[in-house]
Amino acid sequence: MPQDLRQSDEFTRPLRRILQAVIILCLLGVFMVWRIDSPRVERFRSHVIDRVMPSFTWAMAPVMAITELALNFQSYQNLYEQNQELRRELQQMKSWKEAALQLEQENARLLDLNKVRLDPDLTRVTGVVLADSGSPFRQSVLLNVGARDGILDGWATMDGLGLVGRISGVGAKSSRVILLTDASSRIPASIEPSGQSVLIVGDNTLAPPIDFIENPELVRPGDRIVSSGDGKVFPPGLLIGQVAKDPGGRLRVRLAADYERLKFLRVLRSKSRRDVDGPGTLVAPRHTSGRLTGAAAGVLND
Amino acid sequence: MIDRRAAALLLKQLLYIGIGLIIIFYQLLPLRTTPPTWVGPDLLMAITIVYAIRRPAYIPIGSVALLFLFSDFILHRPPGLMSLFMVISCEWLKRRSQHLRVATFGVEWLTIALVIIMQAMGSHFLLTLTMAPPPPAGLSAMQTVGTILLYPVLTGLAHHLLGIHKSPTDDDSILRYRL
Repeated sequence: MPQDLRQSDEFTRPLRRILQAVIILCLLGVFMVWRIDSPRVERFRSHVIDRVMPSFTWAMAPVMAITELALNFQSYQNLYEQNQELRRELQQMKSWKEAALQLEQENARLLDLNKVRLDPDLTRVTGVVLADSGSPFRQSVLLNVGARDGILDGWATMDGLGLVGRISGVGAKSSRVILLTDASSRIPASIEPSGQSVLIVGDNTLAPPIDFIENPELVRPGDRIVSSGDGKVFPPGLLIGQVAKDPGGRLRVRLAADYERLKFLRVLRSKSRRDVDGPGTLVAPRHTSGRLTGAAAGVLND
Repeated sequence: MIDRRAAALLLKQLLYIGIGLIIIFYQLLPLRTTPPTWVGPDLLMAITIVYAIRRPAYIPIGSVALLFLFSDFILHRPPGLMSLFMVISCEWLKRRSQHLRVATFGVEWLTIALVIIMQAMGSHFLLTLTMAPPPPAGLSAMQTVGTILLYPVLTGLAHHLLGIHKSPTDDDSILRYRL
């Protein structure tokens, strides 16, 4: 060890040690505060994301386009064959379209006979996916709609076909959707013909397992799974997917939503939702009807 | 003379933050929204460790702490956890970087492998202790191994392409020590 280096260090070393200790304690403090008061820190997190992400988007669009072009390059090679195939499929689709139109008219007639009113509460806001979670352990996407569009925590999110996830974390201009595949996602659902209440438990795979089945004999692969509306988590009747059996014999959901291409998502406005505005309300339920609290209101007030 | 040196140092410290932000930005691109069956290495962590050993002066403690805290928040990780472990291990490695410079590559690789494994185990332990759900063990083990394997690739690239050798040119005393 050279002597001069040690001498110059002698002066700054205690200062540096103090700085290190302060920074390490601060980071540990941040982590502990997150464990103690999670909603507040998560609100701060969505605030940070809200500040940062919209300024990223201008750069994201061209990079996304270039990367997707590179990924799809393979498919440009057999463009001609694809074109022919698409033409054939279009012919088939036209016949299906006729059938669908006839069915639609029939359905309208039957609905009229029954005097059915579809739930007018279920209006929707459509948002564009800005970013994903960026970590392989968390399954979530970021939408470009937020509190200024009236988005509230807990609302259901669908793509064209099926349920995608749940709003969790709302900033002014962005909101995060925890996907059904995330390890922290738990959605009460019911299996359609037998009417059994189950829980769809996300486990970081594309096909989340079905838990708490009372009577597994009554469930067959291919049965429809819809949200049940239990615990006011989601409005009832939203399509989630179909039952499938994995090689291990466990029942899983084949999700109806196309998780490969999440681009435009619909956020369903619903009146009945449960707030998480404190750490204790999850354990002991409390009547919070008529109050509009939670993360969104907190952001609006800030 | 001194001013120019300080400006160059500041520029290189800013370069590290720029590289870090670009990596975070790439991770955020919504290219894959399906759950992964395999996990790649943590590029930001590997690059930071390469810096800590090869060019400790370019990553002051503040920039490591801020960059990783930012990535913790924006990548939806437990806030403060990974930044805490990165700050501790970077400071530890920086203090040993002069010894590691004269050591063989095998010793260096073993040291950083231990540091990365300790980080993974430490965060798993701390999450379990505070009753937060830790990430799936298989995937995080895969990421740990991947990051360890990435390290020689990164140092090789830095050595052959960018010409970043073990002996820093801007620190005369260490050069004298080596000679």
